[in-house]
Amino acid sequence: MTDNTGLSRRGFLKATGGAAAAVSVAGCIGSDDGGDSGGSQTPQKGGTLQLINSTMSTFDPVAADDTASGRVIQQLHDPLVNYPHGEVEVKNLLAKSVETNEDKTVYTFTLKDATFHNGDPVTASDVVYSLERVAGSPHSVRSDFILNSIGVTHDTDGDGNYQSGSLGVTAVDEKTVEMEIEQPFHAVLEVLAYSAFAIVPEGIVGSLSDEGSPDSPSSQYEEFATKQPVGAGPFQFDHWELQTEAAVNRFDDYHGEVAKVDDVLWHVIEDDSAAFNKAMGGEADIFEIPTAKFEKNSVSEDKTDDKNRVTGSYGPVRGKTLDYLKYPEVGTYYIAFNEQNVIKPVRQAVAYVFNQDDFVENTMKGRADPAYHLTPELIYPGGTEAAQKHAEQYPYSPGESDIESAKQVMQDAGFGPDNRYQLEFTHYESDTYSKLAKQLQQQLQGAFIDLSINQSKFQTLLQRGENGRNELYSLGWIADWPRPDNFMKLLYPPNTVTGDPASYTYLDWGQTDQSSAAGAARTAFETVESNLTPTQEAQDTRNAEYVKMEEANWEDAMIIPTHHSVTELFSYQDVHIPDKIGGMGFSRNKCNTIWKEQ
Amino acid sequence: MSAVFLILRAGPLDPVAAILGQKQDPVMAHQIRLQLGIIRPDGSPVPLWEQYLEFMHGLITLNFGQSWVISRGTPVMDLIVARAPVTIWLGFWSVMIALLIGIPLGFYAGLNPNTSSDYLASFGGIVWRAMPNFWLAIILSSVLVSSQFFTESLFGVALSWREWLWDTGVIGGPPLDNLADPEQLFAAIKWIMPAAIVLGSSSMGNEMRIGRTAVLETINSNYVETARAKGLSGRIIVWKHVFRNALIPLVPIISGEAFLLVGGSVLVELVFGINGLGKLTFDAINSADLTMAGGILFIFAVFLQVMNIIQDFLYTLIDPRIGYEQS
Repeated sequence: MTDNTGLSRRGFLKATGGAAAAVSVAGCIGSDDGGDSGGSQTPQKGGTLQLINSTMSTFDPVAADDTASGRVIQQLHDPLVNYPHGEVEVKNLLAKSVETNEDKTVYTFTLKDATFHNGDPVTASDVVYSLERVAGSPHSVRSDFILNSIGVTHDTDGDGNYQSGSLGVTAVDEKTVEMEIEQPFHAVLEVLAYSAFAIVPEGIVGSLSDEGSPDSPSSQYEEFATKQPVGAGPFQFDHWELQTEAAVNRFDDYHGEVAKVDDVLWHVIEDDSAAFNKAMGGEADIFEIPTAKFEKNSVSEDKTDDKNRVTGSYGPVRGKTLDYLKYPEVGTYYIAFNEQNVIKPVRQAVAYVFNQDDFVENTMKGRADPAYHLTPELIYPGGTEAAQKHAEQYPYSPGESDIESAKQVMQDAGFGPDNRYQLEFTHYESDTYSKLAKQLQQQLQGAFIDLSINQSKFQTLLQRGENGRNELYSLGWIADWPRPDNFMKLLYPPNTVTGDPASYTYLDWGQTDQSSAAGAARTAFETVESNLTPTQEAQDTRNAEYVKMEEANWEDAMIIPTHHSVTELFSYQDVHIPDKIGGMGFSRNKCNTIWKEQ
Repeated sequence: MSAVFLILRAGPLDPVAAILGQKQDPVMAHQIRLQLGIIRPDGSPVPLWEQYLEFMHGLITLNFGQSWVISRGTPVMDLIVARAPVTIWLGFWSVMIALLIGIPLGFYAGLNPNTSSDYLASFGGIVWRAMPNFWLAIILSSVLVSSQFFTESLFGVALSWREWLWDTGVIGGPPLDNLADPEQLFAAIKWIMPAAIVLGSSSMGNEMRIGRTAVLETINSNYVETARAKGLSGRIIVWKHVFRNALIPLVPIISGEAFLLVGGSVLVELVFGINGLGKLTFDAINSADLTMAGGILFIFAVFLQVMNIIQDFLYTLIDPRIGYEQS
């Protein structure tokens, strides 16, 4: 039954490829606003947009690594380019144009006429200063992004530390900046769209050595990071009461579309149920509903677009009907094996019995998308449609729990009723995974596998992983930048060696017996690495290799993707979100286009 | 404090994993470890004893450092100062509720034993005592938040708790920056009241029961009989002879409620979305935020010592037989 609904949605998408494109156009022009019924449709100014947030720690773009701070920083600060409304395609923001030289190693940015909140114009030297802070500020948590991921030219001292002032970013004139990188890289702009790369006024916290250390920041730095951040974003800082709330208000000289609402106010509430109650009391305009309170039957879906985003309405909940928006995110959750500890037939048997569609539909109340690839559909080569088409070739009975085939594989490997395999599943504390574990346990019984379940804290799971003691375990990956190589690096066998602090997951793939699939994955990723130029030709090569890697993973059943995360946003009907949110999430959305009926 | 360090640093908890969550990015992990000072720039771990010495040195010099996980980079003291007022406000009112309702009811029941009103009060006390905090909190917060919806569907009149008398929220903590303004003061009291009732409910029942027993015990004692035989009026007997003596067993109970501020408030703060110290402690320990947990437990330890000393002083005030001079 549920399998059918899962498949029918996929079928529906395929059948309506053309129509879906039309829907997306409607989304672009902003007429599509979920389940708005009646009410004013001309944007109005005024009001306070109330949101819920968890504890924030800093408003310095280079120092923030938590989503909570990121949500506020997104409103205060503008980088050169960004993900508009959290979409995975990068657009210019403070940059008017971006040009590259012939061999794609020099990027030239021309700046828009924009103003900082303190009234100063945004100039090329501000860009140089801001990027220098990303690379060298003692508070920066993203220096790796600029120095290694993008690979901007720079010098290092004897210990390999960044030498301040050596970054290959120069101001050509007042409005032009040049950035030189060591070798061509296809996702330069995607990484630059990170809010860490936001432009702040030159000298706002002095030189790098004036900033103090994270342990004892200078007072000037603290003033900027917590009391008076200055950026060029659509909102300027109003106040922050640690642990209670933070607020920003409209910046009228914004270089883009000036914000509709007067203020944005975040209430700090960390408990899901408390946040839900707060929203029910009308003290949050756009919010999420915890799964425990979520009723699948209350959703009435209106439209699904080509990015698998669903708009509609939800309710009535406590007498009110809410607008509903569901969007897939660029994130994948998976269960995976350590190859040293679990033999291939067992891995395949698990893949056979595990039914992604059923898991998502029933266990997760439909609050995720079934995953057959490690690469999220949104960024899969060729897009959502290509991903779903390719998923049909999934070798382990997609859309069903195939106990028969699992039994067969195990029998062929010499297992039987009297010779059962003992498998341990270590998953982190999560309701969903503990349900998944119980279900697997039941299903695997028929395939001569006794699954013991071990629920543990993250830390324990990771430690066991690093020590190479996990057999089957659960983890996830969320995009740093929305391109497949960011996910495929998890499938590059040398990146999966346990005990190596630089590994991304704990597969130990291809370490003992070089399986041909592991070899294929290795070669494919190395081909990707040597074709990083941002040209169509190189991209086609990369795309082909990404698919090869996914298939190699299928072959060896190392990582079994369980689901791609989705977010469901609920809003009161007097709140209008003209642009649907993209896969990088609502936390990456600038709230200047959202408006409230007054 | 050494135990705190041992449990958090030598146990299975890892602050870096808590910061990164699901997504274990090795590069970020390295950078964070470096910033927390648990590895050296070359990647070798800093030995635990060195970390321990640094931790203890920080505590002794009252330099608690900065939070590791919860709000990375924010000084621990700032977090405590930001969170303490609302917890103190909550604790104060929950103790007040217990005192002002529990004790009078208990005394009333004790003075009128085995009457129907005694049974009613005693039974009520047992029910309050037995009602789980978290259950009461969830019910109360959900009902109050949607009071309009519930009253309308039940009685046909939409009554809004949020707008009643003073305009306040239900979830979250009240602003406490201007309590001198009576308007704000009452609003803040109203805002905290549901949470305070929940938190105070069990101790309210406790105090009621103990108050009743204490009164019964004293009222049946010989000196009260003597007083009655002397012909003292009922009022004097009750206020002068019974009341003060009955308070003695209650004092440790009341001062013991200071623990409410530490332990009991975690659940209530969670459900009502109040960002107070209880929840902070819980989060700090759970996420292995060593500096945060160290700082906050240090302050709690000092606070509880002070409460114990105050309790001893209170004894001397209530019971003249207890004194500090040796006679």
